[in-house]
Amino acid sequence: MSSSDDKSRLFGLFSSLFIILFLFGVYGLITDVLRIPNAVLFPGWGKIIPAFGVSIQQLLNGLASSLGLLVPAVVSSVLVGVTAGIFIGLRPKVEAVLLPFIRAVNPLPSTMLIPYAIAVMPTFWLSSFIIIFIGVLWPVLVNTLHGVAMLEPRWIDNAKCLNLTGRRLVFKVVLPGAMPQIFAGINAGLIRSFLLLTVAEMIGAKAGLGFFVQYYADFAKYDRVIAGMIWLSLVVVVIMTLVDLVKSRVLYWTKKR
Amino acid sequence: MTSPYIAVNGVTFRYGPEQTILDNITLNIEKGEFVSVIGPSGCGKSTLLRLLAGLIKPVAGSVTVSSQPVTGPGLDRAVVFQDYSLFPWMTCQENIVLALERAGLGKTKTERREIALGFLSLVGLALDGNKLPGELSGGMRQRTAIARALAINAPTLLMDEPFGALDEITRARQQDLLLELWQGGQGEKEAGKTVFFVTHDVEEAIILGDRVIVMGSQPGRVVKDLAVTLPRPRTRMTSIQHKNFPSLRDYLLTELNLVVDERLAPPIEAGAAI
Repeated sequence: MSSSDDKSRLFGLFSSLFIILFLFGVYGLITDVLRIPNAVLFPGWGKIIPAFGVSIQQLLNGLASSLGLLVPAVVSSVLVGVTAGIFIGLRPKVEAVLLPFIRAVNPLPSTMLIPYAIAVMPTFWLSSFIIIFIGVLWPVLVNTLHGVAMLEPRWIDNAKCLNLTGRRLVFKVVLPGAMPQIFAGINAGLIRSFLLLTVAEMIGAKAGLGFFVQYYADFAKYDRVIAGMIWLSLVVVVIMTLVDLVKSRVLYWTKKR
Repeated sequence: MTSPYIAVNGVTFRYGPEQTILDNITLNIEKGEFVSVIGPSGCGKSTLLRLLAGLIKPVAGSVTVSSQPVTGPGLDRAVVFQDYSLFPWMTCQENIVLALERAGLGKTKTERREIALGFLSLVGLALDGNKLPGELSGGMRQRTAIARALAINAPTLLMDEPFGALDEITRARQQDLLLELWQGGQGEKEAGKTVFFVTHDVEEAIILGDRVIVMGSQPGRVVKDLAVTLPRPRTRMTSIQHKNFPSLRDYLLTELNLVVDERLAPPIEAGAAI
């Protein structure tokens, strides 16, 4: 890495921090100092920060509970989506048959499934798991199919000339070649998963970050609600950053083409 | 009754019923021969190479290599494409190791890595094995592709405009390298590699080839088959400076011009009729 790369990254980091501090200051100014908006709906930092302190144990428990749902659901969904995508993508006839269905189901919001999932599944955990699993599955599947379809013909020719077949073809050529698209799908799926996680928790959970926010909203404790939302955003930022790290590890070759 | 090493018998290839790419091509290549193929773009020279590689199948006629009908790609025919036939997510060495593994060469991974490194040094890339293809220049990538083709020790090399995308100086160097490697192999106990080399560069075709095949287009067919009467071993310089070189070049250029004129003729006539 060159020093100019490091410099621009540092600059980016400082700019982000500056914007955060600026927004923090503006919110503090209009709530704590000027007291312009409704004090119940928009509590100042003077209330939110203590709310953080009081709820930290609950927030950590909520995080553990949410991750206990999110991680298995997203990981299993990605595994199933990528496997199915490659299996279908490598069989054009099967793909031609399935594509209309995949396209039809993909844009349907999985939140519509919530009443069904809660009715059919024995526990809340399972019903939320299913909702997140399905919500993540489609973008991953569609993007994997796309990635397989977009494999460069010269890679395919090359693989044929080396007599690569079966597992070797998948793991040496198809999977790495489709990886950029697969990660696009994983990113889209992750964003959906946060949405579905909080929605599902707001409806039927007894723990979790979405539950925390919903619970205190019911009691009009908006200092805690905002503390919970900030906590949730932090968690999302950390998870997305981790995924980005993995992505830059796996896709190291795309920067050097 | 020695049959030719590579035999193309009345091969026709077309996309759909109308678009005939190759029409009734017959071509024999002896073992150890270096055959250059030139022709205007769209004459089907790359298609012919893909038929030899087994990547596509002829509509009519047959292709045999070493008396075996070509039914699909095989590691007995190493292919070097113009746009570097390497996987961008593997290092140069890994690309070669994968090919060695498929060819069943080298007993262990370590052994294959050593073989790969040996061939990389042969093309002057001993220090670049751990680089990704994307980190190398076009010329270095093409040398890696050649190293891989040589590493799997295929008796036949199919090269599709391998130096077409390179600048002139790099191209000249690659030609010398290829000559050196190929001619170096000819002395060994087993007869040398048979090379089918597609190019659009007349001088390159003469410098490298024992024979130059000129193809015409629409549909693609063999127009001329010319023996290159230059002594071996050659280098690019000795070829260009040879007294026969200008006449060979002029002859081939004239042939190519005829082919191109013929192709341009019908639209001009149609225009005149209006």
